[in-house]
Amino acid sequence: MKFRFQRKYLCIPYWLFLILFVIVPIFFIVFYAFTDGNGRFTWDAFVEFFTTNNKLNVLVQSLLFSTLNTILCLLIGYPISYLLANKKYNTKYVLVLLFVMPMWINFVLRTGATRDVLSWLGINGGTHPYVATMIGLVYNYLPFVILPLYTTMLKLDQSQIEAATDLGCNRIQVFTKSIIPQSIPGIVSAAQMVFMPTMSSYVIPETLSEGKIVLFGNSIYLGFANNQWNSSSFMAIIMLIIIGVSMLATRNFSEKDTGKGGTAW
Amino acid sequence: MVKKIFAYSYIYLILLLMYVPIFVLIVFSFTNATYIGTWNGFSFDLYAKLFQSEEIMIALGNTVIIAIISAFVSTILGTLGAIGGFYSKKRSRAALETVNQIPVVNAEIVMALSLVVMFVFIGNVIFRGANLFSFWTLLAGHVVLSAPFVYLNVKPKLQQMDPSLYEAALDLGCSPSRALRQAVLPEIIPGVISGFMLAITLSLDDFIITAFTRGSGLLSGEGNIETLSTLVQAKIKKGPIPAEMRPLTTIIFIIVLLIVLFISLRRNRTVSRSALRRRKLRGRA
Amino acid sequence: MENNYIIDLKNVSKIFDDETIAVDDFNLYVRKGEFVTFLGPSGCGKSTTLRMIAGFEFPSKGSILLNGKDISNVPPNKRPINMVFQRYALFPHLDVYENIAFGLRLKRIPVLKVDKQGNKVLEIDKKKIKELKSEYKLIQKNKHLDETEKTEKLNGLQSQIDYLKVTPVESYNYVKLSEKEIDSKVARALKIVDLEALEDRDISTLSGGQQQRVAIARAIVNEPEILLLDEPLGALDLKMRKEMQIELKEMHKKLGITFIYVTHDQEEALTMSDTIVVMKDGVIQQIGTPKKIYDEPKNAFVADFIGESNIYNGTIVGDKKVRFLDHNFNCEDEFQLNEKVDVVVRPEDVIITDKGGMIEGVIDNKIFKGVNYQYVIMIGKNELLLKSTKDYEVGSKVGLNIEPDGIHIMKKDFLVNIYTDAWIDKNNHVMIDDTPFDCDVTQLLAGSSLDEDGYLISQDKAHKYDLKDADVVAEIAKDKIDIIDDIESEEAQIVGSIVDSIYVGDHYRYIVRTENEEDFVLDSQYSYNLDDKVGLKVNKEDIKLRLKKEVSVYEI
Repeated sequence: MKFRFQRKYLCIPYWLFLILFVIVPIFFIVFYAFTDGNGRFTWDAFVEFFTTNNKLNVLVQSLLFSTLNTILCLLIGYPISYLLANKKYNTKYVLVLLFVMPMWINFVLRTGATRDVLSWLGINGGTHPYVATMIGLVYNYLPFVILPLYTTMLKLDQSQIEAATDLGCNRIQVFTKSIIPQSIPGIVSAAQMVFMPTMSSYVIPETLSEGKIVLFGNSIYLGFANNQWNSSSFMAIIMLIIIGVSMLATRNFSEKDTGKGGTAW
Repeated sequence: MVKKIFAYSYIYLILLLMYVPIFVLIVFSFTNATYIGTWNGFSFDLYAKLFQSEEIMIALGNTVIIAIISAFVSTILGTLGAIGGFYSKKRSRAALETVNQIPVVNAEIVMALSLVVMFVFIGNVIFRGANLFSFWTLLAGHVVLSAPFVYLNVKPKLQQMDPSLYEAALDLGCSPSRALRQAVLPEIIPGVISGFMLAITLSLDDFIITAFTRGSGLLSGEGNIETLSTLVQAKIKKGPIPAEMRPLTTIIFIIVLLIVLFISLRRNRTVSRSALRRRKLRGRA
Repeated sequence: MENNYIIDLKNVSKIFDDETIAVDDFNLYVRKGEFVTFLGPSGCGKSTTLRMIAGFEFPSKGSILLNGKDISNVPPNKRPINMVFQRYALFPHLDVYENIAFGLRLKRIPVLKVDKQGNKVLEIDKKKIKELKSEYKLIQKNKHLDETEKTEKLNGLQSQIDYLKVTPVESYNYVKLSEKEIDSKVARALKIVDLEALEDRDISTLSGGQQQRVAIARAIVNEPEILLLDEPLGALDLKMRKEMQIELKEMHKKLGITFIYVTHDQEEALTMSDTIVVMKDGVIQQIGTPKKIYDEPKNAFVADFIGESNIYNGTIVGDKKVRFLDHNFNCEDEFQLNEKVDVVVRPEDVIITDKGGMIEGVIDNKIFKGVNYQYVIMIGKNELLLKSTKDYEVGSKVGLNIEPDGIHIMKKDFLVNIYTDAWIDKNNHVMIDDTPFDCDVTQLLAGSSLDEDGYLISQDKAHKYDLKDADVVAEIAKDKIDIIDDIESEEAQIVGSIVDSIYVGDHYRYIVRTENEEDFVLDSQYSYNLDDKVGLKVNKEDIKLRLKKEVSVYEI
């Protein structure tokens, strides 16, 4: 039988790439997390992580920062997205682009600028590390919230909103009973864009708190900088687990977002 | 009316706040002062300093080279992957998409670390203590970062496409590779381009992957490859943003603004080239 | 004898990777210039067959001959066949003109090589040698040819190769069509489909009907030997569809090329085709002219699928006499006496009268259809569909006559379900489709009985048999299977879904397919929908068993 070209063979290079640089490295992380410097199996990293107050504190602090940042971004970003997507208030796509534009300016440079301006205003990392870091986080992640929310809001079913009004909902009820439920997929994906990246962020807390606040990302970075492969690999696994859990928890919502297009025969 | 004013003031207030740090840097890029907040009169001195700074120019050059190369590699891999995946059986496509999703949802720092431990292991165990970190490891890191997004940008274009186009092209006499180029590619090219642009953006902006996977090479020669992100990070760790970097913000801002304007003002297509050509052919141009 | 078959499909089967049989032993030849339609319900294999002719699928078995040459494994781009796709598959990035010119731009025309003086250039034809060599290898590997024929062919080829190797011949350059040639060809195609004014338009600005025309123009501009059309009118509205049917037929006449058309619309098939191929489950049911298929359907499926029809169970009661609807009718077909048959009567072949007539019925339902009325008449407990211009009130008694040429008699598909891979389990149940059914195993040996341990004891008590794992053939008559609505209930022995239903006069005939793809054919009074999940029940005494091996094998 002669070899016959099939279109599905085109994904072979990508498959090889993914296996080599995505799947295999994850196995290496697992390997390093449960071995010592000589490659022998050990629980050391595991025991160290759960017995040192320092590392557990970092975990709790990161979770708190991530949660707070997600909530703040959603609170600020939700009305903006709603207004941007609502034809009554905005018909220009430029305005949306303006909100996204900061994302295209080097983020380390932006973070530095935020820090410099905040210290100029007297909120420097030395005296107000928490406030400064929080502002920096919200400032950086706000565009990531606006974009997915905006796309969901564009797809809001206007007739459902009208139906709700028709059935006797007042404005607040329309909002809570029709608009919010309809935008849940957007809220979920927006939260995903903020929560995990905040936990694993390094540059923002490092810069804005002048090194005073250590989040999970900083902790892993420190491990990397000091060649502590085993303990940082274990922390990476903790991150992976949290990511996995959050993915599972939000799976039902995001599936709706992608839309299950039945394959018509 | 009141509602409208309220809505607009909210939008513009947040917008303004978001741009404050950028505008401050831009404003103080036109005065020769060490710290922002001090105004020493209008001058372009800092712009001159920027272009004289070898350090910044090298970092800038590295950043652009890496962005373009990694975007090209990502686009080719991701596009071929998406096309191949689209025409694969349901199960293998689902597997590909799951793996493709890993770098998308995974924390960048976890990905970076996983690559580093793999390179360390291979260097130590297989190459007996060799240091593998170089431009190539950095490139691998950047492609891991952006290829999945290219895939995700191309995929919907394939789904929107008439599934018989490829077969129609074969039917009309194209070889398989020609059919892909002449029938499928034109349909997915918007996705390919937006994937390429996204890959460029991700690479330009990246700090973590670069910091983890870089080695010596490119314009940095013997030293570690320095990109804009790593250079700025190194500087701001020690103190405020160096004065000569402020003009950089202005330049980037202007470039981005031009792109945004270009996107929003994109004109409608006029008469196609082929129509013009045949009008000439028939002598009624 | 040389035939004028343009395409000839021989024993073609297509089995997909997941082992579904899409096309099963398909045999068909098409004459040059014929308009052939593949007709059948969705999933019957008609599109797969078309795709094999186009070259998008390759047959798992059998061969496809184009002008007598085997093209089974030739890729689609090398076949002189073009296709009009179901959803047109126009290239959205090209305008109307460029879409039509697409195939022409890929075409290469051989042009005789000449030197400056205008003399022919003679060269060794390397391409031809290569072709002959690969043909040589193919024949070498062919196991079906007999040895002498093989050596003869191989020797012939070898001498041809040897000759070409030393003899320079006229050679050709392959050149593109010039823009002028392309332009005139496209203009002609545009004229044929009546779209001259729209050549600069973007595809997305065209209506469905216009896109359809572009798709046809794009195919015919390449002057293919065969034009394939895969449900090309499916996406159009009714009026547009009717218009296009006529136009396609005209085009076929004008162009004189062979059309192979796929549709599930029987009316479309009847209006347009020279020959109709009715398919079901990958198998050809009938091949014939529209008239023949309509008037003389080969089985109940074809009759039901083509046009409206009344189908009844009948019995042959004499020479050219058939009994159905409690009346003996004269007919034109000859069958064996007492044979059970399916009788098909077209609604327009029943003549309605006020009184008298061969049979009498009561009008149950009446619908005004514009040109005529459509009546449903109850004759006893049988329904009869009838079309007439005469106006009768619902509830009135009428007489009905059917002429012999209006009665079409067909052999019954089958009367019993036969399961050849059944076996007996340790509880003396018969396993059909991995499900135990209570049965009477003593029928396997005349006069036998079961002892308390479940062993079969012969009549003279001398032999004892253990039937565990014995392979048997089980038969269940189709009127002995009951449908149980509640699939959870104890009574439902096996569960499946309804995959086929035909109304046969006073009852329905269903095919129930289980999860393991076993089919049960049964008759029922009650109406179910396709895909309904139902339970089936069979009484112990209604399962007929036959051992595959001698009973002595199981003696203990």
